[in-house]
Parts: sequence; structure tokens; C-alpha cells
Amino acid sequence: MDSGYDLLRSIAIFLAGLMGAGLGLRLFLRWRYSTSLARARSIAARLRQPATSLAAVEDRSAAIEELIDLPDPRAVAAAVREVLGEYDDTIRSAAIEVLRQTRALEIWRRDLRKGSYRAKLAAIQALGEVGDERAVDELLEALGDDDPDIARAAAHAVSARDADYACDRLAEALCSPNRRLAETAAAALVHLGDEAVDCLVGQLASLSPQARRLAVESLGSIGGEKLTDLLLPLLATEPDAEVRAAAAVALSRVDGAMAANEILRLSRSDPDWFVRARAYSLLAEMGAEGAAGHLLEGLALFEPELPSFSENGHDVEAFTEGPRRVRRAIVAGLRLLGFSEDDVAAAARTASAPLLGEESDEAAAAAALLRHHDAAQRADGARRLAEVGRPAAEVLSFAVHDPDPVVRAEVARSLGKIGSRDSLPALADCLKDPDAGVRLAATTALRAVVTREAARELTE
Amino acid sequence: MSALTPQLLRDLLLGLCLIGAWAVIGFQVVLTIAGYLYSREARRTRPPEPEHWPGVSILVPAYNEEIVMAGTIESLLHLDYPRDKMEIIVIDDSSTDRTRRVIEHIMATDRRLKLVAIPPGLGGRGKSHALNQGVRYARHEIIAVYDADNSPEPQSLRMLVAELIADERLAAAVGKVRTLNRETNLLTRCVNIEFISFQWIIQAGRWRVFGLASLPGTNYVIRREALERAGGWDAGAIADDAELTVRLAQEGYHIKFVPYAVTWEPEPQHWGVWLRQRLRWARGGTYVVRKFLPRLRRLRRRQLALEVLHLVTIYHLFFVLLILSDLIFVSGLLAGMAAGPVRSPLFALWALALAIFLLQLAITLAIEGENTPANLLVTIAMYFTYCQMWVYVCAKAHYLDVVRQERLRWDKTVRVAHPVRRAGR
Repeated sequence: MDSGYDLLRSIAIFLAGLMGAGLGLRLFLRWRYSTSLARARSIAARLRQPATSLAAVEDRSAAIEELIDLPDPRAVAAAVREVLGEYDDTIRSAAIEVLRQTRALEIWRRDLRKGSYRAKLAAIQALGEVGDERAVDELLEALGDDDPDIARAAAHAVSARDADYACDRLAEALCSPNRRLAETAAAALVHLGDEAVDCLVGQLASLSPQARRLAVESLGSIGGEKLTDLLLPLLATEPDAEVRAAAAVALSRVDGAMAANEILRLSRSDPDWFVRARAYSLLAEMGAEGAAGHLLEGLALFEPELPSFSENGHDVEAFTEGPRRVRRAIVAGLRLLGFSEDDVAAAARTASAPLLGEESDEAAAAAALLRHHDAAQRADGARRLAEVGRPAAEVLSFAVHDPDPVVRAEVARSLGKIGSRDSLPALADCLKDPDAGVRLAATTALRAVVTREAARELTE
Repeated sequence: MSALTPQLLRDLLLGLCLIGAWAVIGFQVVLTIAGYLYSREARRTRPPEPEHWPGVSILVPAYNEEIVMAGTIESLLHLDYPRDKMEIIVIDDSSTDRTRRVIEHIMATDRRLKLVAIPPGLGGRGKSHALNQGVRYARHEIIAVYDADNSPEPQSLRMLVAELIADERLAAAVGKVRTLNRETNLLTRCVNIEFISFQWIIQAGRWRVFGLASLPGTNYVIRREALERAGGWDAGAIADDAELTVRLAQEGYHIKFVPYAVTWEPEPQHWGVWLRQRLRWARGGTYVVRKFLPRLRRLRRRQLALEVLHLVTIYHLFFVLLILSDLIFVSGLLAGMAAGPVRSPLFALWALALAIFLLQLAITLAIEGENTPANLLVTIAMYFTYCQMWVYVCAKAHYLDVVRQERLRWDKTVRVAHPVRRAGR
């Protein structure tokens, strides 16, 4: 039994010895640093003396040389940092010169990349106090740090000093392949507020969709009178769907009535399903006038939610993309507007009810095709509804806002063939369509309607 | 020839058990050393980032996760991965709370987030079943899996994918799981230490020596082609990760442990919740053992035996050895040190085994930068408290499987609210 105790006792003594040695070493290093820091501080105090005479200038130069020659660059950096807070530019310049010569900037850069959380924060603070262009460049890399607190601190430090230089560099960072860096740069620009607007407007023309999206989001957060004029054209001309969606979100925060009209148009006619879904959500979130009616109309445009997959008689629903997502966004929007689950279900049933059900089966089948997810089927439905005649005019009028231009052109042609005066407002809308084919079809259809109505009046 | 006295027989039996225990300890020591070496290599060598990132479909099975869902989705949306190459499919396994509303609310703002809703008649069959439903809708060739209470670090997905595509032999790359609420109480401290040591000893050590880590259930990426070849997730397995590991290895694939791809998750804070979770793991491990142990000699790769025998060791062999080592310790205390039924060398061996166990844990804590005095003290106390609870877990698992023959059922871990993880601290 003694051998067991002896073994344990030996291990315990060995471990205690190791801990003691470690502690001793740590204390020695701390004492050495304190001594160096005290010496550096006493020399750095001479930097603060006003250089009003030749002797004072020479003394300051000598102090700079002594600081550079000290063996512990960390102690020098800590002492000189305290001088950076001086208002006198000549004192600050002297301090920055010391930091450059003693590799303090490199130490802070290394801490920024590989240091602990505290070391990184200290480096950011130090580089922010230095504030010159080289320090800003170092800090920009830290915008992409894994830790959002570090990234935010770096962004704050970048924007604290030279706002013009910072704005330009931050705006350039919006197209960085490091997404976090880009997003933190955007947040820093928002923090700069009106000073950053010009830089952000410049990024609206960037080749990078990411940069354009972040610029739009940042402008939306900053707000301002010019925002509507800047962002409205994007809804029609911007090629990237996410940028259009971001523009819609930004506008929804700014201008109520005009934004609501544009967002409504977006919900009906944008070619991208996500933009349409977002637009419906925004209408509900804005509580825009008539939002409930618009959402209910939208519900009628999409086919009922058929199950994506069935197993043992149970239906799995998948809301991945396309019309199903748009419909889901509409349902969520109705819920937001205060519709209960029963109301939403009733609205969904009404919207799903066969259109033209009271007419022939062929008419109902053709009308049902207008809700098909495939544009070719919808176009076919529009063509077939022309044979139904006047009862189909109202249903077709609704479909002039179809997202696909081929379908819209077919709808216009069918309205022309039906020739009902009731379809004039819908055809007038088609004259403003962005697609030339739709406008041409609408022009021809209007001529046909007017001619037919005129002929009808003459014969009556 | 001396007579076989009861005392001699007892000592022989105890000796055999200690030899068995030392064999396991020796193997763990080898893995610890290998894990340490791998920790140094992993810091130095990273694969180059690909010119074109492949698409990734992230699957997140969810059942009544309203407490944690929003935070998890936020973390996933902030993963540093090309937006157009990533989709997140949350599989709502017929939740009865507001999980679906939370998901739909966020879906309205981000096109990458998608929802697959399993209806009540088809749901509640466990994580494997939910994943099999969700993968039908995945568009991309790489599948990532995260639990609904995870906060992955922004770079983790990139790192896993880079490792996966850099080596064609790999079916999957698995990251590290850390404990978000590790300082909440003694239990979470113990779980934190356990997770750290498991990952650096078993995962890192096995990868370094045998080229085969184990799927951890969360924070991993897998090639879709490999998953399909292996037949998807086994809906009957509660330990879906361990079971799939064996089948992937049977197909000739490797699984790499990537320690710098980290996710954080909260662990059970109460003993009742912990016990239920570990019971599920124990019974799941026994399921895998039962499924593959009879086929051990027919398994195409000998390393497969590793996974199966590892589970046998943890849930069957080692808990027997733990009981016996407790008996040695207690009888040594009761009988006195100078005389009694236990001979001194056996007690010395027990003490040495304990010292090695503590040293292994200390090494893994040091690798992780968590070798604080508090953690080292908890490590010492763990052996006599936390580790002993495994005796109860394994005993109950055996009782339910062998005596009651109770059917395996998915038992969800109760969630706790947690802040979104801050990396680096």
C-alpha cells in the first residue's frame, strides 16, 4: 500500500513544483514589463513639452531616439499611446513616428489577427487613436473578424478619425468577397450617417450585386429626402432580384403612399418570385391602405397549395421557392393584418374556387389554367378564354398583371378578341407595360375593342 | 501446486478486469497522443479555398423549437458562404408550438430559408426520418446538417466544405461541437469537459490513426452521392450519426474531423434532462452494436470494427470495468491500507489509471485553451461524480433493452434559451 501513496505523493510534489516554477516565471516577466513601462513613461513625458525653443526641439528628438532604443516595444507602445490623446499635432506626430519605428503598429496588427479577444480590442483602440491612413488600412481587415464585437469595434475605430478617407475605404469594402467584412463596413457607413451618403450612392453603380444591395440597405437605414428619388428607379431597372427587394424594403420605411403604389406594382409584376413575396409582406407590414384587398387578390392568382409529396395518405408540404412561397407570404401577411386562421382559410377557399364555375366546364378549366405555375399553361388558358366571350373579360382583366410578358400579351390579345368595353381600363394599363410585345398587343386590342363597340352602337 | 483459494480467485478476477481496463486505457492514451499531434498539424495545414464554391443544402430538423429557432436561423444566415450557393431547409416535424410561425416570419425576408412541413400523421418519428424527408428537396450536391439549437461560427461551413472537396476519399467532414452554457453549473462544466476530451481523444485521435472520425449528429457536411449510396439515414436508429458512420465506412469512405469548424450548442442544465439524453445515446449505441456486431467479420473494412467496438466499449465493457474499479476503491478504503482483501499493487494500478485519466483530460483542456484551475478541479471531481452516473445510464439502457424490451423511441432534449454565440470568447 505504501507504494501507492508514495506514487501519488511524488506526482503531487512534481505538479506543485511545476506550478511554482510557472508562477515565478510569470511574476518575473510582469516585474520586467513594469520596469520597462515606467522608464518609457518617463521618457514619453518629455514628448509633451511644448517645442518652443531649439533646446526643447532637440530634447524631443532625443526622447524619440531613446524610446526607439528601448528593448520592450510593448512597453513603449503603451507609454506612447497615452501621448496620442494630446491635441497638439506636433506631439501626436512625434508619438506616431515612435510607434512606426518601434514596430508597435506591427505588434498591434499581429494582435489584431491572432490575439485573444482582449488583445484584439486593445489593438483596435490603439490603432483607432493613431488614426492615420496606415492604421485605417489595418483596421479594415478587422471588419471581417469572426467575433461581431471585434468587427463592430474596428468599424467604430475606422470611422472615428478621418471620415472622408474612412468613407471611401468602407465603401470599397462593400464588394469584398468576405461577406462579414462587407456587412460590417456597411454598418459602419450607416453609423457615419449623412457623411456616407455620397459614397453609398456611388456604390449603386457597382458591378457587384452584393455592393449594390448593401448600399441600398445602408441608404435605407440612413434615410433622408433624396432616398425616394434614388431608389424608385431601381425597382424597374435593377437586374438583381435581391437588390430590388432591398430597395422595396428601404422605400417602405421612407415614403408611405408612393412607396405603397410601387410596392403593389412590384408584387404583381416583378419577374422574381422572392421580390413579389417580399412585396406582399411589405404591404402587410406597412399596413398600407387597401393592403388586405391587395393580398386577397394576390391569393387568387396562385394555385392552391398542393402537397409536394404524399406518404401513407399524409401530405408533406414544401415551401421552397416559386408561387408556393409567394402564396405563403400572402397568407402570412393576412395573418399579420389580423385575419384569423379561419378567415385566412375561408379566403383561401374563396380564392381557390373555380373561376367561371357557373359557365361551362371548358370555361372553368380555361380559367383554372390562369393560376398554373407554368407560364405556357397560363398563356394557353388566356387563349382559350377568348372563346368563352364576355363572361371571361373580367377574369382576363385581372390577369393583365401576370409576371410573364408572354402571358400578358396573350391576355391583351384575348381581350381584343372579346371586344368588351369593360376591358378598356385593363388594356389601358397594358399600354404602360415595360414589355414592347405587350404594348403592341394592347394597342391592337384597343383598336379592335373600339371598332367593335363602334360597330355595335351603329347597329343598335 | 497451491490451492485455488477464494482470495486468489478474487484477485485473479480483479486482475483480469484491470488488464481489460488497462487495455482500454492504453488505447485511449494512444488516441490522446494522436489527437494532440493532430491538433498541432491542423493549425498549420489548411486546404486551399476552391475557386468555385459548390452549392450546399443545410438541413435543420426541428420539433417544437420556438425557443431556439430564431437564433439558430440567424446564425445560419450569417454563415460566411456565397449566398447563391446556399439554402437552408428547416424540416418542421409536426411541431405543436410556434416553430413554424417563427420560420415563416424569417422566410419572408430571406430567399435562402425554406420550409418542409411534415404533417402530424407522418411526423414524430425522429430525426432520421425528418432528415430523409428534407433531403428530397435539397438542390445541391453537398448536404450539411445542424441541430435546431446550434450557433455555428461564421467560417465553419466554409472550412468543412473546403476540407471535403479537397479529398475525394472523404464522404463527410465533421466539425467540433462546443458547449455554449458551459459555466452555468457543475453539470454543464462536466459536459463541457467531456465534449472537449471526446473530440480531441476519440475524434481527432481516430482520424489521425485510422482515418475515421464519427459523425456527431450536427455540424457536419456530407456528399449527397455518398449519402445516397449508403441508403440515407436509418429511420429506426436513434443514434443516426453512429449508424450512418458505419455504413459510410462500409462503402469505403473516410470521415475527417475538422477541429477549427466550430458550432456552439447549449447542453442539459438539469440532471433529469441529461439522463434522458444519455439514455437515448446509450440505447442508440446499443442498436448500432446489435445491428453490426453479428456482421463484424463480414465487414468490408477492418476499421469498421473500430466504430462498433468503440460503442461496445463505451456502453457495455467500460461500465462493467467502472463498477469493478469502484469496488476496488471502496473496498480499499473500507479494509484499510495495510491489510485487507485488496493487495497493494492493484490499488496502485487503480491510482495510476486515475492519474492517466486526469492527465488525458488536462491535455485536451490545454489544447482547447480551457485548462483553468476551476476546470482542473472539476476534472478531479468528475471521476467520482459525473462519470459514475454512466453506470446508471448504461444499467438502465440494458434494463430497457434486454429486460423490458421496450421499443426505441425518439426522446427530444428539452431546450433552454441561449444568446447567439459570440465567437472567440
